[in-house]
Amino acid sequence: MSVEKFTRQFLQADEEGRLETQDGSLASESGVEGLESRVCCGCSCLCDDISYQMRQGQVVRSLNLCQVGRKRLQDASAARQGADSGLTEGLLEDSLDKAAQILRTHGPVLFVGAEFLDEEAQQASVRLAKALGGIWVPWAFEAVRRFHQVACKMGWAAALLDDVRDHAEVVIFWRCDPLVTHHRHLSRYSFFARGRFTERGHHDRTLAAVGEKGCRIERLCKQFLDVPPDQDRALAESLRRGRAQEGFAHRDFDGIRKACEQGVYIAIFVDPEAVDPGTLETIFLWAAETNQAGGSRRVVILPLYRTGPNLEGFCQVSTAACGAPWGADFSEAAGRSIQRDWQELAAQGGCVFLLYPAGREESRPLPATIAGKPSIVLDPFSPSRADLLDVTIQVELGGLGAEGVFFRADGVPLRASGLPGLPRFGLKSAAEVLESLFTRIL
Amino acid sequence: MGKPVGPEGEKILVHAAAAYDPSQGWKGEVRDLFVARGRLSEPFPDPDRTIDAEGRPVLAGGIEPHGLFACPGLAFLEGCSGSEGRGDIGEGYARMGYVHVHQPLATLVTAGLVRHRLKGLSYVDASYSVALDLRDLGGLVRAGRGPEIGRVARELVRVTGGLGIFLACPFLKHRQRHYIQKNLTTKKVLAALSDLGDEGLYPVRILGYPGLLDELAERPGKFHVCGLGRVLETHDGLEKCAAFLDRGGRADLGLAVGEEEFVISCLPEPAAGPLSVDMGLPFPVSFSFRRICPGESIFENVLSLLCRAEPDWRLSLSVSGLTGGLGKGRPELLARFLCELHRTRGGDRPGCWDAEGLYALARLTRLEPARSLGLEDMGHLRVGARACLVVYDLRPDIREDRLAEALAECWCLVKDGVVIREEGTFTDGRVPCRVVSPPGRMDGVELRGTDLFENATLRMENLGVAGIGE
Repeated sequence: MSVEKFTRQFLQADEEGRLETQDGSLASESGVEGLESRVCCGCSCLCDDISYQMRQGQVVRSLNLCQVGRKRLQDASAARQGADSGLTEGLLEDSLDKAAQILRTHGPVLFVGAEFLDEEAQQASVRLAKALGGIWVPWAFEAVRRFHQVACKMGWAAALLDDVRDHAEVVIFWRCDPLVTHHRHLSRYSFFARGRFTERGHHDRTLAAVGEKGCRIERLCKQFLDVPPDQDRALAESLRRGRAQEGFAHRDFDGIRKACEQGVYIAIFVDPEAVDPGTLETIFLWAAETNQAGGSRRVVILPLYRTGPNLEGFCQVSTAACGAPWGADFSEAAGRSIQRDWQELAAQGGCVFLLYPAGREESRPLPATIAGKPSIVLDPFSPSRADLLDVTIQVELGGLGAEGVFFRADGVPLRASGLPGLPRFGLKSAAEVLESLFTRIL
Repeated sequence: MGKPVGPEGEKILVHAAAAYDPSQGWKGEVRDLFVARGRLSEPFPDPDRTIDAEGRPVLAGGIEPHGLFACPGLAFLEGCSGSEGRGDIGEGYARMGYVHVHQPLATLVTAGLVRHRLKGLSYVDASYSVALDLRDLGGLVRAGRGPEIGRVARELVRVTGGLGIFLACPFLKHRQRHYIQKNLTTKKVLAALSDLGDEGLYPVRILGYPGLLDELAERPGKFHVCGLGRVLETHDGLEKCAAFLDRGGRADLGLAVGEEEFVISCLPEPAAGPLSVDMGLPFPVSFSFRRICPGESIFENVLSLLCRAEPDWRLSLSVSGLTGGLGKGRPELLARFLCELHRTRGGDRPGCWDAEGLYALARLTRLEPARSLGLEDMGHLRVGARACLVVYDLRPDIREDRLAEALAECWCLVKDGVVIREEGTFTDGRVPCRVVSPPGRMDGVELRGTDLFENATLRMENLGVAGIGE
């Protein structure tokens, strides 16, 4: 639906008094405001074609929001309305004091989840972590580390999503499912999208996936390889060599092999967390050999992490701050990169500072080793969780109530400008809260 | 403490400085320089602050025309290098006496990223050139409709906030066989770009590669070769460079000596480096490193070319590196150049540099970069110029082994009338750092619906971050 059509339908519905708000209640008051070309920060696709219709500080209709974005919007809107009655300046100050007390006395602090924040908040969080000698990592730090280490070792052929859309004739999703994590990835960048040299969109492409039987993307794929994870490496090796390796067989292998041989441009999206390092190395080797062969064929590899929308921003902030993209342990020596796993890391933490609520969207449940330790959470969604954690500080959601810079999966930055006209209810942005804590502690 | 830049600013007298300014023929004559309202001014009484240079040399602030640290994928390379974080690049440049950095490479899609990163630099101003995508201009090039290309390029520059245009590769060769009729030869591209009908777009920057100078032989003045150093592998290359510059060609070296040199290539060749990125150009941009050591032919050729530089050569001395060549490479190259020039001219002074050398250095690192970027009020010490000047602690009898150190840590740096460094250390003076863009609207309305913007995944208003459209 075009923006024009959307607006026309909206106005017609408005005139007829059958307009519904996001929470389902009828709204027929005047004061409609249209907002076009907004950025959704629900995942790292950072769709910038979202339109909203607002009335009296509430979003009453949206265009192009996917399921993830819509849920995020609804939850944050509901929480904001909750804040209307509950949040006072005094309460916020009390929470900040209490949080500062915990941070001061329970080191080292484990900071988790900055990949959900905008760039400014990420910088504020790493500054705070440095000052406190804490551990600063994203939920997916093991995946980032794995991908980065293999890419450094093997050499990396990367691409902007624009180039994938323009060129990719074969698209392979390797143990990642954009229909679960990045709903509009296929339509905006990788499969349905029409590009410069893929003018017929998905008719010019072969879509293949490696994953578990029954995953959502299966029905779209021309070739679907439901191989067990322990055969991933054999599959990668077979693709690299152009023939099935001994002990490996799959009915769709010939199809994907042929597509790869005929395709000039192959884009592989991989979730490094779901793939073992050996497989990842083989995929990189395949890409390197193809790209160095001197022909016109090119294979590019792009990570598709199952985590927050601004992981790329996190990696950039982290690299600038400490030389590694997966965060740092400032408790040992300045900028030392982390080589341990989640459980060890969590066990080391004296308290945990969740920069985004655990267990929500693509954040993970906390490791068992952190259980029982003091915890603080910046939560744009659920003020009612205060009883479950030591300190919950409700904040504005980046890209909705607060403005901020987010980086798309390929590193292109976008400013999510927030929706004007939303009442603030005394809510602060994550960056403001982190700065306040920094001031309190130092 | 430095005052912030304002309508009044601080009135500064730089007293008894040996001034080097090729634009006025100053070769170390001891002068007083006056700064008021952020600009070099006519003499005035009662300055707020006097900096006594005591005969030390003063030059205009340095300008780097080949900085490369805001491309997609560079964070990955930094992570691979295993360093403890790159630190503050702007501070590194300021330490060496530089006030402006230009990145030649940005594309329509990456301009927002480049601008965002450059805005984060401290102390130095920045600018960038935006790459023309020949895939969007094929029809115009084949038809030789240069002025139409010029109009598109002008609008592209406006939309992205670039300071000029850049050509990553002067020919086009499609991957897919069925697009073969859309390929473009270098000759056709250069012919079309020589007739843009908009003098403000010249020089068009082209990334250097062996063989480019032959192609540019007919029309050297319209183009600026970024990274001439790559042609200097052989003696033949050296002669070609000299001939190109003799004919009025413009170029910067884009080469670091003595440290990991950072090489980018946009040619359709096998990508062998640690990173290659498709970033909206016909071919992937590949990044690799190599180490050039004294004694290698390329090193000797670089020095030889610099020492042969004629006053009318449009050559700039630039350094490419992951962090802008902020290690030892740049000052060591400059120091070797000064020493070599002194020796070549049969210098008999006890020190290792002379006024001719510093005069040549001022031209290569100040005046020529400013001219090639169109920064008219920078790169020289004329009255009315922006008050960006640097004093180095170069005594006439300084030993050769201390020369690089003196060039690496300037003694005093004034930028836009604010004293940033004094007596070899940073002051608490702060000056706003700008990303320099051409004046005019940057909303690209005129280009909506053209080929240029049909192929971006972002909407026009989101192509830039915090700056475009301001």
